[in-house]
Amino acid sequence: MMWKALFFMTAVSFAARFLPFLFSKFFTRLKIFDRLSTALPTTLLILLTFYQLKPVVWNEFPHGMPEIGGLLAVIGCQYLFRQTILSMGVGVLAHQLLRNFL
Amino acid sequence: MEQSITWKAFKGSLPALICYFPLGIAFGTIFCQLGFPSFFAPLFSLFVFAGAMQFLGVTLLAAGCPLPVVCLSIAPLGLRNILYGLTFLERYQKYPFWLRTYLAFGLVDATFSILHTGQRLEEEHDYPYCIGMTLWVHFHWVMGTIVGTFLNQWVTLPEGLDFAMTAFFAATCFEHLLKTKEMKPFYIASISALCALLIAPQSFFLFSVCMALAICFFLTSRQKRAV
Repeated sequence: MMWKALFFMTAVSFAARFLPFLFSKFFTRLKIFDRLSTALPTTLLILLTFYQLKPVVWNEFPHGMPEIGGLLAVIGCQYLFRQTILSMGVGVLAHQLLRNFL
Repeated sequence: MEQSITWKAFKGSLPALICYFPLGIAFGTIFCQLGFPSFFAPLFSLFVFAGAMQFLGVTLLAAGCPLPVVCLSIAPLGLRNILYGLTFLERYQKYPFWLRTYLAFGLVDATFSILHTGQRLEEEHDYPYCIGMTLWVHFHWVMGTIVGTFLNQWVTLPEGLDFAMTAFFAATCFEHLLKTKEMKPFYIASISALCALLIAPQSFFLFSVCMALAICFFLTSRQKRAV
């Protein structure tokens, strides 16, 4: 059962990732994808950030304050130092502090 | 030179290490606690290599769902990888088939964010860098899972550690916005997310991605006409 599950889940995961490359000739012929590749990747990254915030319960205490505080810390730190790891560390720390002390 | 590229790739993959390693530990721990044989956990991480898909898949399996239902349930989570692939077609298309196969397989959230945001190396170094980065990210995920399976009885991960993932995405996309000084993606993402939240909160990500894709199509075709 587990071997079967492993096989089929691998197949699903692999199919989703390899599909665009399988039809790459078709996609690369479409000029629209050249243009899309300038705005779409960053848009996807921002959507991923929003998606991570989806489970936050905004209408109950602490009203997502740890997440907002953590994100502000990440953005502020990234703006000042341009170091992704440092920004992540500061953000996680701010989030944990707000989560435990609010 | 190759060694320095490997080192560069490792340094580049450190943000992924911070968020994938603890998540891997969480996966390994949960997998064992669900009662599955522990040696399967690293195999799932090695071959499926998809965080959300793995968590959802094993939870459904533990609940006794039939395999086709599990596959159908996890498939929508892989949709965003199709879009990642589309944006990397040009970059990867000149690589040999077997290599492209692995790079496509390794194009997960973290690899996508790092490779998209980081500075692109010159042609001959970009190729080993992409492979190195993908391998390191894969390695962090599998190693996290192995550690999780070993420590599952003793380790309790602090709640809210998954915020590392949010921080990672926020830092990488903010860095990209700082670099390009292009606010259009931010507006497109905000409008799409807001519409998804109001219209289809249950399928938030799928809806918002489709909406963003539609807006991007609309804007680029208008641009094309203007040219």
